[in-house]
Amino acid sequence: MGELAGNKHVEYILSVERRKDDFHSVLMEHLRMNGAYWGLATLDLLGKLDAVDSEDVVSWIMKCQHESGGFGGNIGHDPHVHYTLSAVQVLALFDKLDVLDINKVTGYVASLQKEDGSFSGDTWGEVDTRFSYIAICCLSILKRLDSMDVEKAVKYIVSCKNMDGGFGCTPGGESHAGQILCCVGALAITGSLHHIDKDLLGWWLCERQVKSGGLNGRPEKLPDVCYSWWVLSSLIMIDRAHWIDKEKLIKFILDSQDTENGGISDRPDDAVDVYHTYFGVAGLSLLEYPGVKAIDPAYALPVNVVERIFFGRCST
Amino acid sequence: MHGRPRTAPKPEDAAASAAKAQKLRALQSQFLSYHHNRIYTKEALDASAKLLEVNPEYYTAWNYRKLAVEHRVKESDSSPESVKSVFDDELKVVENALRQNFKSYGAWYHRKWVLSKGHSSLDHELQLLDRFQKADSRNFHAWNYRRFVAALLGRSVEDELQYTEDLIGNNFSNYSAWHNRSMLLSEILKKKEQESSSQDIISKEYEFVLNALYTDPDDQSGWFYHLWLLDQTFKAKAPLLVSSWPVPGSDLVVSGNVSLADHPLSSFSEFAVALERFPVVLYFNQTVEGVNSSTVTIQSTFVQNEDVTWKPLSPQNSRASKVWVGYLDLSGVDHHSSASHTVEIKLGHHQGIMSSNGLQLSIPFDLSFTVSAKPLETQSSKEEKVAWEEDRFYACETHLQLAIPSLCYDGIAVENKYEPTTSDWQIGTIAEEISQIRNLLAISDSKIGKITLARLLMAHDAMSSPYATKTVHAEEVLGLYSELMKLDSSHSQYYRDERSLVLLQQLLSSREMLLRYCFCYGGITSSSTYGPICLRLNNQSISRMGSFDKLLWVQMLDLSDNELHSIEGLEAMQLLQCLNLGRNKLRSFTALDPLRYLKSLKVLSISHNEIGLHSIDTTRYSCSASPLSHNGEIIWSHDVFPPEDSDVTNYWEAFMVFKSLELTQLDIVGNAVTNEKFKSFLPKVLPKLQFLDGTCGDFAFIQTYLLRSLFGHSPSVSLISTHGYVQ
Repeated sequence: MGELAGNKHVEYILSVERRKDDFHSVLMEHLRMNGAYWGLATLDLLGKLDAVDSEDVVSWIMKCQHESGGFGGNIGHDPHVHYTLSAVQVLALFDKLDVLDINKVTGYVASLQKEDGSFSGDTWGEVDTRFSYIAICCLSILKRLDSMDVEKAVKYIVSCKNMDGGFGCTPGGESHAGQILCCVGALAITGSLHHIDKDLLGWWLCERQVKSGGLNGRPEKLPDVCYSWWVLSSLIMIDRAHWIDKEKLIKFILDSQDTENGGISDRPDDAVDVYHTYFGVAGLSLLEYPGVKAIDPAYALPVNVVERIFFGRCST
Repeated sequence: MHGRPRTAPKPEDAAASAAKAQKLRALQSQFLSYHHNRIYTKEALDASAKLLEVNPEYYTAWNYRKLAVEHRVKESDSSPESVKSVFDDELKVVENALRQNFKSYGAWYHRKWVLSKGHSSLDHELQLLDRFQKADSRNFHAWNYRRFVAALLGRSVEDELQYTEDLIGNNFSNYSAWHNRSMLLSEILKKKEQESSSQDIISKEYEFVLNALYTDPDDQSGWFYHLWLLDQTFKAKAPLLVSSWPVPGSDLVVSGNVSLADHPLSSFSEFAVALERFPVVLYFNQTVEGVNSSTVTIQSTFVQNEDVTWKPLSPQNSRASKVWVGYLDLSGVDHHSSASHTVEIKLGHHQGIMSSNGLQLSIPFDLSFTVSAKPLETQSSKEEKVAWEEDRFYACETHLQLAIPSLCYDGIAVENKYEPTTSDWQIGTIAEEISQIRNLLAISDSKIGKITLARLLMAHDAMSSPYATKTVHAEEVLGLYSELMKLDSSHSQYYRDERSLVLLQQLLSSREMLLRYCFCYGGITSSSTYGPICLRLNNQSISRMGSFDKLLWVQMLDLSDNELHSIEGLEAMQLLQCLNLGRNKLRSFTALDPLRYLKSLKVLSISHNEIGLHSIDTTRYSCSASPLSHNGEIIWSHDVFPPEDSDVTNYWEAFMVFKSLELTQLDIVGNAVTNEKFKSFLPKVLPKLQFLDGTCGDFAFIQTYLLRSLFGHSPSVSLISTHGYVQ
């Protein structure tokens, strides 16, 4: 088994940032805020966050804020709760949450809650449990969870629970590991994990590990490095992570690295991208791989950042 | 990138990519300018359509098109035809976008948005879906959309059920179709009023899924559905009280909360608990809510029913739990007389105690026991140290025979003339499935087949004896899990945990078995011939604890030398005073969260575990007072910690667990966390501690000093409970 090519991945992420002009980068321009979070979180997990100028990043983020308080995926793009969370997360990485007008951001996020407790992603009304998680995570980081109806939000999430113990996008939707992370994360942050049948869901999740050691997102699908995060963080939050073979998963992630040019792909020998690089490194962090900082499974931020937020350890 | 091979870029590709990028960038800028200036001309609309065709994930363009629709409808002559044509344009844009990427959230939502406005025909939607579901029968966007369209069209549940049957017929491995079938069938079952018709449906489904299982026994899809059917078979099961403390008919002798040395726990009917907090534990076979002073009535000369508050023993702020505790205040009992007082507890005579699916407690229970107080002896000021070495324990069978009342088992069943709650249909169904899966396993080595058989056999045993005193199939099940550990080594820890639960059921299945693990503790002999009774389950390869319903009476428990990484469920053991968890695999202090509920716990060993060794804490979200999960009980606020004392925040996990305990003895040696700094922190949170890692320390001096530095000077340092009580 190879080793983690940490420095190569750092170089790769920095090079993606510089390479703005190829077709793929232009295609992804609308979600640059997510990209910033994936890339910068990876750098932080690898101990290289200081390779970027935090002031540049912060001033760019603030240019993406809309007058409603929400953030867009890039300058001039519409606000959406997904990019709002990424913006808040990146600011948290740099310990710069104080640049935010908390009331304004909170107002935007809380205004997206619907009568049944669910959340829409923006003012156009698409409802999904992903947005419930995003809103809960975001307001918890801002310590303003009290500005939404938590009880109703939890009730809606529970209404999306399925026969296999997992969760779907909306009531009736099929279980999917990404969706499960969102629902388990939201229930974890709101202290509501008792709504989960941990043994049933834990078994379904551990059965996502296939022979190659990688994890898939649903039964009878191909494994993909990004599920190292979605599945494993869910298993950790319900304390069932020991039900998978960690060594085999580490090998699968390391085998998916491009050791020459940096970056991690969905499966060995596929093309790399920042998304999979982040989820690969985050997965290794959850697997306690040496040299990678510990990440929190619910907030998807390094543990030291989360503790700084909740205990004010370093910021005072 | 999903599924795209890693290839080195060729120079000519780079050039082509740059040219394409330039064109796309121009289109994007043009679009944004139209959007920001609210221009909805044909030219502008075409630009957005073109952009979405290339990049369906460009969400702002979908928003723009919705604004444009609103604008165009307003500007139109509002005839149905022109309005319809505005919306029809959108359906075309969506179709083009989906052709490029049929997993685009934005495109699918735009279509829903258009249809929900009610100006478009729904005739083509099912055809469109057929096309997408043929191309990828697992596309969950398409399935979600299908449920949406089926509802709009008013399609019958039966028609949709037929559709899943067709798809499963084409390919047994279509988990999405099985999932949808479970949703549809749940709806149908809900409507059936007659039990027999639900049973017919479920029986037919067993036949249907068995076909799939035979076709490919290694495919997971059908097996998950089979597990769900099993759950449906039992769904009608009403909650049942399976165990309690005290046991009905017992005669208890209780003394105040004195030290172990003064009060050897030498019999199962003698207890040293705080008289003002005498616990009554109710253990149900499933999670219930509604246990309170109106559903449970207590009759006794010294306890007022309404003074008793029932609490769910659940590690989070839930209103439901399998285990409930009520504390009686017995401080009125006369210590100088040995007269016994009768306590009668009745539950289930009024409606209100019910399961999560609304079923009421099936059988009313009456629990009656007597309590007498033991005269208080003079208290010794010093505790005696509890040592867990092998030579401190001795078997004393005749004494134990007398000390352990037979009431421990089947007590509830006998007292309440228990009658089976399972139907012939349920028993018949399980027996049939056992034989079917056995047949299947005769021709295949299917891993999930074996798991299913193990679960069926355990369900069968539980059904014939809900108090799990008979474990007819335990040996076979243990064998199956051992086999699975070899067959599927990646998941061996799962099988080990399942095996462990079965093993414990077996170990505790009868009084005779139990006696083999009970010993007298000889370490404390100052005031009695026999020492406390200790249940010793040490060195049994237990990786997961269970069968707590059988252990409610235990006051001294040795679980050392096992493979425990969690003690989930231990909160039910309200009488525990001494607990040895040494040499296990506990990874963090948050894993000790269940101990916070054990108000009698005095002596604890967690030596030689893995606390402090791991960077990832797997129990920080399942614990009840974590500041990260807004769990209320302790308000962890920035301002309650003085900046000069970082210990509480550095060791918040330990602080959280220990602050609710009154330990007199703690062994913690052999964990990565135990350095000098940590050890000097412990007396701050455990002011009653007399022995730390075997050393008798006079911590009083340190305590006074440290407490002053921690809590003394700053009025802002306070820990506030949810009740606003400042400690």
